[in-house]
Amino acid sequence: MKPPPRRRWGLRLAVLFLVLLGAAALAAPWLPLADPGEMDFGQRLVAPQWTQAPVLGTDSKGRDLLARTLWGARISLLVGLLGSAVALAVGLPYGAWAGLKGGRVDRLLMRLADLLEGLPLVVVVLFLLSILQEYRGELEAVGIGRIQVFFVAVGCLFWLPTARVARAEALKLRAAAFVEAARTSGAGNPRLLRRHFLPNLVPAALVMLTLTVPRVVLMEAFLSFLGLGVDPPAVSWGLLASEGLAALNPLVDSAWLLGVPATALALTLLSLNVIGDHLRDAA
Amino acid sequence: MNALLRRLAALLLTLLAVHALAFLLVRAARGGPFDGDRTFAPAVEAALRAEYHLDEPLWRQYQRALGGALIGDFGPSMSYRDTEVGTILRQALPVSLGLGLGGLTTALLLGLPLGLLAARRRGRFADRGVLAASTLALSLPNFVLAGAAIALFTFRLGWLPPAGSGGWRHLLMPCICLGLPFAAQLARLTRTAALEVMDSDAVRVARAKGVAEARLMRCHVLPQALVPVMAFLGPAAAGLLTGSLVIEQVFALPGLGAHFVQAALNRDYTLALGITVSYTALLGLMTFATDLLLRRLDPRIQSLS
Repeated sequence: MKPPPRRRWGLRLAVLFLVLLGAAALAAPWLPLADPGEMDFGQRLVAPQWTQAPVLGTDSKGRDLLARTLWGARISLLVGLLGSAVALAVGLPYGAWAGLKGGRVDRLLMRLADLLEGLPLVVVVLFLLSILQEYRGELEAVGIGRIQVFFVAVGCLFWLPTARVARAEALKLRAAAFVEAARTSGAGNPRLLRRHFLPNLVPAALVMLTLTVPRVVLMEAFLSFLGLGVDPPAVSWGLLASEGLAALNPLVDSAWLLGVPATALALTLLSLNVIGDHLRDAA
Repeated sequence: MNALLRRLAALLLTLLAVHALAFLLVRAARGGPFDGDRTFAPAVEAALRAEYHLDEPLWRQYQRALGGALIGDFGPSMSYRDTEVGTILRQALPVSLGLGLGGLTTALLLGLPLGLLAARRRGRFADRGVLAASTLALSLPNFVLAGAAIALFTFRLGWLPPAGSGGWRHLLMPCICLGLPFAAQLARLTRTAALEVMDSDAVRVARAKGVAEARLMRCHVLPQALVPVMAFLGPAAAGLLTGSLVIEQVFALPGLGAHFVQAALNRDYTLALGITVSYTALLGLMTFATDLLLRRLDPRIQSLS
């Protein structure tokens, strides 16, 4: 069903915003921006000037908020994309395998998924992360930094819905004539999975990806806000928002410290959600 | 009945597994408050290890931990001196339950009527408004909502206290900030479900018989639309639980979530373990209650998957 043309402008705006933001985030090192970490105590808590530097104001240590927001976009978007990729990489084969095998394997795998769904997954993963902290040294020795652990952890939070969608699609594929043909001509399950199931799951996977990215971005903000995610001196929107919230007090007006990262985050999530809704309706 | 019993057994097994796994991880992690920069005299360390029963074999430690966990005793906290984890849990649980129930109430009170309104005015201004507002509410992280609410209602208008615990006024803002994203999701779900029911033959017949529109929505559409909406309560409980981690932190409410975050930051593993197990139990019971409710609402649901 084609969506009514009236609503298309929302989609266009969303795509435009994301493309601009992505380009700005990618190009951040080459843009004429202030250093996001450079403190200037003569320029503390300057309100946004809009037309001249500092365009979006400065924080309590005199750091330029525009630069920090754009550099934060790099981390937040990277976590969103990679975390979702991890979720897909785990969920897609899991669900596809369950759908492909059917029967007992399917029941067992889905039973496990049900059990995991019954857990407060965020709390469990945070618990694991805090214990993993003790092994930081060993992990860094084999080249796994905190941020990589974080990608995997966030991905683990969101692979279940992907697995369910993949399974539903795979169950449909199982009955398809070309799968039947491939099976009769002697293709084993691994080959079927690789050559026939995974390629045919690409459209569903793309829809799942657009639906997962905003949730992962939100989760990154959420964890960084609690101090359990990205570590300073790296900046992310969650960290910026938590700094902004901490600076909130009735004596000094510093609302932009929360407002700027919050607006960036909200606009990004809104755009991603709008695109995701359209894709899902179109699929 | 059989299915319900099986469901309870599965819940119990899950709890046992989570507890055992968490216990093993905590014991395997060599860190903890004794590994700080301060070194103890060997005798002092031995005494401390004996007090925390760290000198016993692993199996014996697990037995002790499990026996304690069954009666809500998770041993002493590793970072709060002279405080049992059980005591903290008992103090924090009512705060979190109050907050969670408040959030759930907000979600139901806002989400259900708005969803019904949107369905009744399909495609019109009210419908578009509800959809747009729910998209917006779903895109705002709850700490941003909380910050904006504090800036507005406390600092600008001075109506509500910014943080801390006290009377209902202290819980009002946290509950609304916690519940709003779920109100948005509920509104969307209710709208979809109600639209489906409104297209059904039963409703067409009722309308043909001349049932008034308001009564039609209340007595015919709502009860049927409630089934998919209530099925969402289980996942919503998980979401509320996650949200409360942040909301309790922002509003300085001494609930489970705030304690959990502090425990994760302070390496207070016994406390973190106690809260993880409590959360698992809470969520499991909530899902179980949802299932019971669904069976009441829809007699066709007999076998619980």
